[in-house]
Amino acid sequence: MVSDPAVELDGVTKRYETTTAVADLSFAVSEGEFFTLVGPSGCGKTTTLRLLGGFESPTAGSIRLHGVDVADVPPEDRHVGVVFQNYALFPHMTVGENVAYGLKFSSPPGDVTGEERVADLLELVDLGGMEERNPRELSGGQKQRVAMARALAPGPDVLLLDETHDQEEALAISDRVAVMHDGRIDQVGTPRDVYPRPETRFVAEFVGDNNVLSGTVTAMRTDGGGGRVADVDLGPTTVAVRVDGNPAVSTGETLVFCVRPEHLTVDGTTNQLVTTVGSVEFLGGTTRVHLDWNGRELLARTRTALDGTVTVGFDPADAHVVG
Amino acid sequence: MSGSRTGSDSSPATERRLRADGGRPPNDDSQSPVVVSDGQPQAGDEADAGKQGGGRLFAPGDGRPIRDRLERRALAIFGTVTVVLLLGMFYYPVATVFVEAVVIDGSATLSVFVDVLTDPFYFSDLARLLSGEPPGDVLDDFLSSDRRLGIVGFTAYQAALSTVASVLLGLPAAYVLARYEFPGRRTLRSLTILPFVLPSIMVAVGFVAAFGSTSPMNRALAAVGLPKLDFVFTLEAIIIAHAFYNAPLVARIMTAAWESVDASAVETARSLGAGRFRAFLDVVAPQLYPSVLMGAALTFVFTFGTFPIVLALGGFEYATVEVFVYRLVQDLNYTEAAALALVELAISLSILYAYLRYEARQSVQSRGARPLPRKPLSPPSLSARDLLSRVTIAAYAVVAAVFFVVPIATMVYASFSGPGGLTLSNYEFLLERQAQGAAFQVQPWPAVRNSLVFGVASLLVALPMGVVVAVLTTRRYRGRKLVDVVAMAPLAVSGIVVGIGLLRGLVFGVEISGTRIAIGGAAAIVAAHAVAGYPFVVRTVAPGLETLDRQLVESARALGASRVRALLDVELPLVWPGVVAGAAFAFAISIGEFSSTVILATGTDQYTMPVAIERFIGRRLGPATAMGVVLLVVTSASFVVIDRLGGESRGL
Repeated sequence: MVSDPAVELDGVTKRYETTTAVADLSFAVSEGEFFTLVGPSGCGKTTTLRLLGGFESPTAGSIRLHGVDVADVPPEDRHVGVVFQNYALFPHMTVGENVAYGLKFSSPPGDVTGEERVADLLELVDLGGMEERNPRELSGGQKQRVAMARALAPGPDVLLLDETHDQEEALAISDRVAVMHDGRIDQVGTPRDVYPRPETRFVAEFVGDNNVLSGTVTAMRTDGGGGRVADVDLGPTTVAVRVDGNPAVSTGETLVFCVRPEHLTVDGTTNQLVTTVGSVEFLGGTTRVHLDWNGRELLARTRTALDGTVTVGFDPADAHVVG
Repeated sequence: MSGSRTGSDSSPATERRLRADGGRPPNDDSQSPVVVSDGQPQAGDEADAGKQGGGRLFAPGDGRPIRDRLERRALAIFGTVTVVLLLGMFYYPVATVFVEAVVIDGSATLSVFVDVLTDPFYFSDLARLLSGEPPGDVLDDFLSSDRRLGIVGFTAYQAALSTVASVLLGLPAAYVLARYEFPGRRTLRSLTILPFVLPSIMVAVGFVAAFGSTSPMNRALAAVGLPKLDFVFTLEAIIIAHAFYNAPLVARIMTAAWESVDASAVETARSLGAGRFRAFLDVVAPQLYPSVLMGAALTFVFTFGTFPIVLALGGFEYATVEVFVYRLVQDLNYTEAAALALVELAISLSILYAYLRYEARQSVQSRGARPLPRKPLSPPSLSARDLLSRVTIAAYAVVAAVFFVVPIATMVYASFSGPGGLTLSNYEFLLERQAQGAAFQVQPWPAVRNSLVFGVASLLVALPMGVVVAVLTTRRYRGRKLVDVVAMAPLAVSGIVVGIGLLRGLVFGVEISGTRIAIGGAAAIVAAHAVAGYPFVVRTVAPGLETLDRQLVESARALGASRVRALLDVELPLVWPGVVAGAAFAFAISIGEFSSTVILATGTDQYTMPVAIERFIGRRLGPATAMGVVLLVVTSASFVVIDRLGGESRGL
C-alpha cells in the first residue's frame, strides 16, 4: 500500500490585502522526513508554517495532512506540534505545566501517565527535574528546549519548528530542503543535491557562499575527455565552462554559471583570474578570502593566508550553469 | 478512525514511549513524526518515537462528544448571545424610543419633532426662527434684556458654564501634576479617575450636606451672626457640582498630554533664542490645545446630558432636557419625552462627532522620548519667582481642597450626626424596614438590598459580555471597526433613553407573532445597568488582549486546545488584572446608576440607593447621607481595585 504523504501542499497561495505572502506552493513531505524551508526573511517560510499549523487559511490551493484535506480542520485537531521562534512559553505556568498542557486534550502516547511523560520529555531535553521552575528563570536555550518538550508531549504527527536559521546546520540535519524566494519555492532537493547544483541564480547565491559569473559564449568545443565545453567571454578574460548537462547552451548566448569559493584555487592552471586580496576572514579550519577582480568581488576558501596579487583558477568541470 | 485524540486506537506494545536510546517502536508502521522546520532544527527525528500510527484522521465532528462540540463553538455561541443581549438590552429599546417619537396612531410622522423644535418652551427664540418668524423680529427680542433661553438653551448654557469652570479648575491641577514632584503625586493622579465611578447623586448629597441651610458651615456662620451661604438650589450649585465631577477628567487628559511633551523640543526652542515663556507658547501649548479641547468637549457632552445633579440640586426652577424628559415620562407623555430625548441625543452625538473629526485631523502625538523634568514642590530658592509660583499653587490647593474634600467630608460627618450629636441612627435606619409610611413610599432597606442584588446581577451579565466583545474587537478582521462602534455605542446614549425604551418595550410587553413577551422591572434594571457597565469591561480587558503575544494562543491550539479553551487557559489568566478592574467598574457603575433606574423603578419596589437618596434629599438628609457613605465606600473600594489592577494607561 502506498501511504499518503504526511504533509502535502498543492498550489497553496496566501494573499493579504496588499501583498502575496506565498504563491502557488506545492511540495510533499513523507513520513519521518526532516524537511527544511530556507530563504531570506520575508520569503514566506513563517507564513507556510502558519498555514500548516492552521493559524492562517490559504487563499487558494489545498493542504493535506496524511491525505486529509485540512481546510476546515482547526489547529487543535491537526495533531501538529509547533515550536515558535520566540518559544511562546505560557508565562503563568511552570515548566512542568507548560509541557503537560497538551496532555489535557489527549492522553500521552504509550502506557505512561501524564506525569511520567512530562518527566521523560524534560529528561530528554536535559532539563530533568525542572518541572517546578518558572519560565522566566530559564535561559534562552532552556526555554527553547521546554518549548520542544511541550510540542512533543502529545505525540504530534507533524512537528513544525520556526527558527532563525543557521544554514550549515540546516544542510547538515535535513533530509531535504526547499529554497524559498519571494513567496515561491525555487528548488527542492536533498542538501547534497541543492548545494552543488543550484537551479536558479537566487539559489546559487543564497545557499552557501558562491561566485556567480556571466558572459557571452564565444565558442563551443569538446575537451579531451569528450565533454562539451563553452568558452565564455567574461570581459577581462575568457574562461572555459563544462556544460555537459545543458544541451541548450550555444554560441552567442549569455551564460550564467557559478563557482564555489572552495573551487577557486591558487594553484589552478586553467581559467586563471588575476586578483588582488582584500579582506581575509579566519574561520578556523579554512580562511575566507575576499578578492578583487577588475572591480568585482570574488570569494575563495583557502587553508593558507593570502596577500597582495594572487592568480586564482578553477576547473571547467567545477563551474555549474544556473538559470 | 475516530477524530478523538484519546489515543485509544494505539496498542501499548507499539507505544513504547521514548527512551534515551530513542528506540523506535518495533512495529514498522508506527514511525516518528515528520518534521517541517524553518531553519535550524534542534531535535532529530528520533526525538519522539512514542506516537500513534501515522494518519490519525481529523474528520471534524465525527463521533465527537456533544460537550466537545459545544466547546469548539463556544466563542460563536457566546458571541451570538452577546449580540442578542445587546440587541435586546440596548438597540431594541433605543429603536422603541425612536418609533415612539415618529409613529403616531400607526402612521409615521415628524409632527412631534416639529412641535418640539418650534416650541419656544424648548428652543426659545430659535424655535421662532424655525417656525418661520422674520429673523429681524427674533433678533430684536433676542437682544432685549428679558430673553428666555428655553429648556434646550438653558441646558446648553449651564453646560457651557460648567465646561469653563471645569477647565479653569482642572488646568492648574494638570500643571501641578505634570510639572511638579511631591509626595502623593501618583496617588493624586490616580484619584482623577474617581469620578468615573462616583455616583453623581452621591455628589449631590455631599453638596446639599455641605452647603445647604442646615449644613455645619451655615450653622457656624449663623452662630456668629453672619449671613448663610445657601446656594443649594441655584445655578451656581449645579455648575460647581459639575466642575467637581469633570475637572478631574480635564486634569487627567491634560496631564497625559503634558507628560508626553518632549523636553528636547523645548530645549531646542530655548537654544534657538526663545525665552522660557515664549518656548512654552510655541512648543508646549500647541501640544496641549487638543487635550484641552478634548476635555472641554467631553465635559460639555456630559453636562449637557446631566440628570441626577440637576434633578437634586436644581430644585423646581432649573431643569435641563434630561430632567424635563423625566418629568414628561412621569406625566406619561411618552411621545413628547421620546422626541425630546432624541433631539438631545442628536445634539450630543453631533458634538461628539465634530470633536472626533477634529481629533482625527490632529497628527498622531508621539510619546515624548524624554518628558519635561518635574520641579520640586518645595521652593529650591527664596527668589521672588520661585516663591510666587509656590504661593499660587498653595492657594489653588486650598481652593481645590475646599471644592473636592468639603462636600464628601461633610456628607460623611452628617451621616454620623443627629440632633443629639454623634450617632449611628442614620445607619440603623438603613437596616430597618420602615414601619410606618405608605407602601408606595421609598424604604431604606429594600433600596440597599436592591442595589446589591442589581449590582451582582448586572456584573454577571456585563463581565462575560465585555470579555466577549473585547475578544471580538481585538482580533483582526474586516469590519472590526464597525463592531467596535456598535458595541461601544451605549457609552454615548443616556440612561434615560435606554430606560424609556426598556419601559415602553419589554416591560410593558411586546407582541411577537402572537406571543406576548414581557420582562419584569428588575430584569429591565439589570439590563440597563449591564449595558452601562460592559463598555468599561471592554476598555479594561481589550488593551491587555491586544498586546498579548498571539503565538501563546497558537501554541495552546496546536497542543489541542479549542479557541475558547485557549481563552480560558492562557489569555484570561494573563489579562486577569484587567478583568477584575472591569468587574469593579461594572459593579460600581451599577451601584451608582440613576438615570435609567429612576425611570424603571418609579412606582415599583425595585428602587435602589441612588433613587432613594434622590427621594430623601431635602426631607430625610440623614439617611440620604448614610446611603451616600455606603455608595462612597462601595465605589471607593471599586476604585482601589481598578487603580491597582488596571486604571493607569489602560485605555481609560
